[in-house]
Amino acid sequence: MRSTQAQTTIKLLNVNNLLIKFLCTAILSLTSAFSFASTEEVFEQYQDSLLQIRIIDKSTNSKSTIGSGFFIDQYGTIATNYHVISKHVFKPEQYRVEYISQDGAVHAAELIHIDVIHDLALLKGDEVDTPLLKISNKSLNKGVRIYTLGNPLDLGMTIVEGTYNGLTKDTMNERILLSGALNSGMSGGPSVIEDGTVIGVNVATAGNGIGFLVPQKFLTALVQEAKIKKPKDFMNVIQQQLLSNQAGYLDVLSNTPFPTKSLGNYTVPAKIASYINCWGDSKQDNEPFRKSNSYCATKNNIYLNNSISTGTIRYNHQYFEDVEMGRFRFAHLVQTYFSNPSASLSGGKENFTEYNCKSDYVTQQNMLLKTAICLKEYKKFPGLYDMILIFTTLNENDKALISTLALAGVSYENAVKFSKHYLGSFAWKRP
Amino acid sequence: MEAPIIIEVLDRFGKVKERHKINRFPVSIGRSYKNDIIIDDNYVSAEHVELMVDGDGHIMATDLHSDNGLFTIHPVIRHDILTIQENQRIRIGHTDLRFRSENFSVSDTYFDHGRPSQWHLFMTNGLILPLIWLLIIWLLTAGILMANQYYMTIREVHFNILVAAVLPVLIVIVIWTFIWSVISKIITHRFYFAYHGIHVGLLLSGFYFIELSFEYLEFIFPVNGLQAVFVVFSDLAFTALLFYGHLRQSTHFRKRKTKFISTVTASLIVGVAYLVSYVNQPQFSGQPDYSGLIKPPAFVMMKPNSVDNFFANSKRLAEFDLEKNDEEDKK
Repeated sequence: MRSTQAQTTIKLLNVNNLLIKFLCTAILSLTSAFSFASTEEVFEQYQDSLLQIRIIDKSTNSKSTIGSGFFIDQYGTIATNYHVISKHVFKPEQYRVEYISQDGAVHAAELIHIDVIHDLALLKGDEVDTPLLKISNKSLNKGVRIYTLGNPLDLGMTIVEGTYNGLTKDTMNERILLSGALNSGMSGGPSVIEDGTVIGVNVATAGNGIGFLVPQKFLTALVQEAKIKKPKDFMNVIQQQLLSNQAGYLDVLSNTPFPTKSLGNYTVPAKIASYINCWGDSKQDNEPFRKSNSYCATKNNIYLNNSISTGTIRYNHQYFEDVEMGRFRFAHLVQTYFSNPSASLSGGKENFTEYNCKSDYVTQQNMLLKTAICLKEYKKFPGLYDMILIFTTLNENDKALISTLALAGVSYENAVKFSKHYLGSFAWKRP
Repeated sequence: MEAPIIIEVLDRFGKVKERHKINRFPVSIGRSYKNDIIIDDNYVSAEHVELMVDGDGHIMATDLHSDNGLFTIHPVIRHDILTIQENQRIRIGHTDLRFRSENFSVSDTYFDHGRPSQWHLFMTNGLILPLIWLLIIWLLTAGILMANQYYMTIREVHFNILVAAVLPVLIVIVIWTFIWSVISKIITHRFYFAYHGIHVGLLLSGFYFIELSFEYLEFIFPVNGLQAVFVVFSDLAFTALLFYGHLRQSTHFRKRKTKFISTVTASLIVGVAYLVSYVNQPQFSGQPDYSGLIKPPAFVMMKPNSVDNFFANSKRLAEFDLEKNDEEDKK
């Protein structure tokens, strides 16, 4: 008897479980049925124009990078991200580009044009007669549903749904902010809205379900430019694009007064642009001196290849106050920080020369500064430099401000112009 | 050759060990204590050679039936009897004898600038006073090392940190002093511990002082690389001085020879040290390298540049020889 009772109880429990399961499944399927219907529609309609882009190492014939791409015209023009094919741009003798269409066939592709600033590239593949994704010309509202197509993790074509969150205001170059999970292999794929038009190219993820897209207008511009120009020397293209890009943002910065803040008796540049992040701290921690630190840097850089990112603006103010060191020890403290710049720009022998430096005493208004400037040139882009400007104040025995400015990938003229403006924005109130 | 003559007994390096002036003949030479000239050489017979004057006034050497004979060298010929010429060199046993006349002209006298050094007399006589001085100098050295450590530390400083920094150096100084004292004892039969200790202590203190002066010099004239040149020279000078002082006291070398040896030794040591650091330095640093010295503001003596001037003079920094760089990369 006892056992029968027990069995009945178990059966009842099972029935309950089943009921709960059924209910859950029903609710889930109902919700997903609505979304999947439209998602799959979009996917099926255009899947033949979606491609996997592969960078192949010629010596080993193995995949070196994979990404996504899509046909934008029937002549076989493919849009993708610059960073997907950057290895081929820098070492065409070592890496070739190929693409895989939906049927699994492998085709060779040729590089037509690039836009390193916005991370776009155009390739030429075989002519096609599949339905093509059109570039959108609509202006979007926040909350609009976006379908991100691509080839994450080499698993075949997938589609991720997200929502449009407007344009980012705090990156150096305009990007579309997307809430949705982009994976690395989806780079270069299109993001479309419900009518099947492309509003951007997948470019990056910030993790936590936040992704970035290159707005379609930059793709349109690149396509237009590719009709006129047929570049052969892509190193030269990169150099020209970097130069004209920095002429834009550095000129704006150099021609407007920097917002400032005070640090001790000094006035120092604060957050000078929306695309620059600043943070700071101060501490004493049992030290015989007090130190306040303020650090600012651009939020994103321009990716050239896996060892060069450029376009960085970084600056750092370190303010020191003597507590119990005395002027000679305090001077040594300042020396320790002055001779090891906190905002430096690294880079290997393959891409950069060594730094050339000089240091001297400089007066700026009522301040006496020991200033050093260092430049190193990009070996592949003559005329582009990384610059470090560092100075310490020599006005008081017991207080000192060390400021470092690092600019990556700038021309000598821009470096000097910006540095002068930077130095000019400091002031000291004599106590 | 005529009397009086001088007989020089040479050691195996050809250096004069003894000189004997001979006025009367005959002269007996051998290992026996009965001889006029006693040769301390086990290959020489008790009665080995006799010198006498013949009727014409020539000096003759006669082998007294010795076991190992009487030779002229260059060429080597054995003689029973031999007429001695001026500057003649003969060999008996393992010992060479050389014959000089009174008219042999000596080399020029070295001119010694100044009087015999009071310092030298003081350091090599007595025991207690030099040791007191040694203690004072070593305390001074330790003090300089500690002060240096104190100013170099940007964290909170405790006395034990300073002692820990200085102690290893002091131990090295003591060992170094002891080694040179032993060398002195072996070669000159005197220990001279205080002398060697004071010498190394003073030099080390001086070395720190000079290096510090160079730092201030570079701060006043901020030219990249200027300090490096001075440092190389001071490294050389201090190493040479170090060896010179120790060698003077622990060997019988003449001044000129001592100078030569210490200069060569110092050049070798400094040269090898720089070579090793040159070989070990990374081929590509990628790090900015500028004169980052900072001293209190009062030491800024140069007229500062204007901002415009500073940048006007920076154009050359942007001039890189990319083609040359490229060639080096290919190598």
